[in-house]
Amino acid sequence: MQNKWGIKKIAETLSFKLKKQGNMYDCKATLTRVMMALDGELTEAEEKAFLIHLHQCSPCLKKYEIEKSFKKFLTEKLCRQRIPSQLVDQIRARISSIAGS
Amino acid sequence: MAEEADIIKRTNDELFEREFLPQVEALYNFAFHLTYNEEDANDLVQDTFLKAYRFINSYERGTNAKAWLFKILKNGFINEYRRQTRLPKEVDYEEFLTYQETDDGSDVGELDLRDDLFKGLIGDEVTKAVNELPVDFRTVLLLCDVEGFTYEEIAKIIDIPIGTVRSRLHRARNLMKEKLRDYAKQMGYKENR
Ligand SMILES: [Zn+2]
Repeated sequence: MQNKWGIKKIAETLSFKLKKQGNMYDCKATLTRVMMALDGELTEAEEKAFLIHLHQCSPCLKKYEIEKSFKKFLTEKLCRQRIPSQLVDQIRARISSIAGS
Repeated sequence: MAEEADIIKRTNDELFEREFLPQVEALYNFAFHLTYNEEDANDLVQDTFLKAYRFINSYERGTNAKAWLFKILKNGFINEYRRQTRLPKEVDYEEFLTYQETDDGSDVGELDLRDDLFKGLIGDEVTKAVNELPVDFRTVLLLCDVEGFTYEEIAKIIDIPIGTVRSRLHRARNLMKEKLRDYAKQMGYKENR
């Protein structure tokens, strides 16, 4: 509870500052940055503006959460195939045969 | 002279064991999703390590060994394997390319993506869906979502501008959503019969 209020307070303060700087995101600006936000490709300032919008706009937050769970879903389902048991030995054997010659 | 060659060989071997070989699992996974075939993936990974060893002197120590190896593997796949292996039909490729130019990410809001729709899907179906993507889209998706490379690293691995990485990635994810939604619907249809 305390934490939630804390975040809200911070968001309000930041949004006031950013508004003064003309550095606010609307819904379109936010939604075009969802993918980059999830991939960790936003700059610090962009990320701040992005998160502030999410805190204030539940439709955008919802879309963000959906994209986030989709990315997580892909990552989990495409996770490591088990490597064939002899692969590393085969690599070492082929390396030593070219290294020896 | 012979001693010097010995030392060079020993340091190279050490580098190979310490920096290159630990990437074998990641490389195999990437190779498998590119070839969709265990045997080809195995060969592709072996060839990658052989090339890495042969050209070990062109690797700059201290730089990103994983990205360097992924680049070798990806080039090997494009140059040698792509022709021989069972490939999904690539006739649709031009169509995908035209999408790419118009993609700026602004249609995110239009996507109706329901979480629960995907819950029943298993890894095999996702793997199959990825394999049906044109290789350029598949590559960026795997490098980003599975391996966690940054856009900049991906741009270097594939030799394309960062903006192209972004648009391909965006397109790739949307294609995956479409495919998986179709699979999920087919499954639901079967179950309800
Ligand atoms: Zn909004």
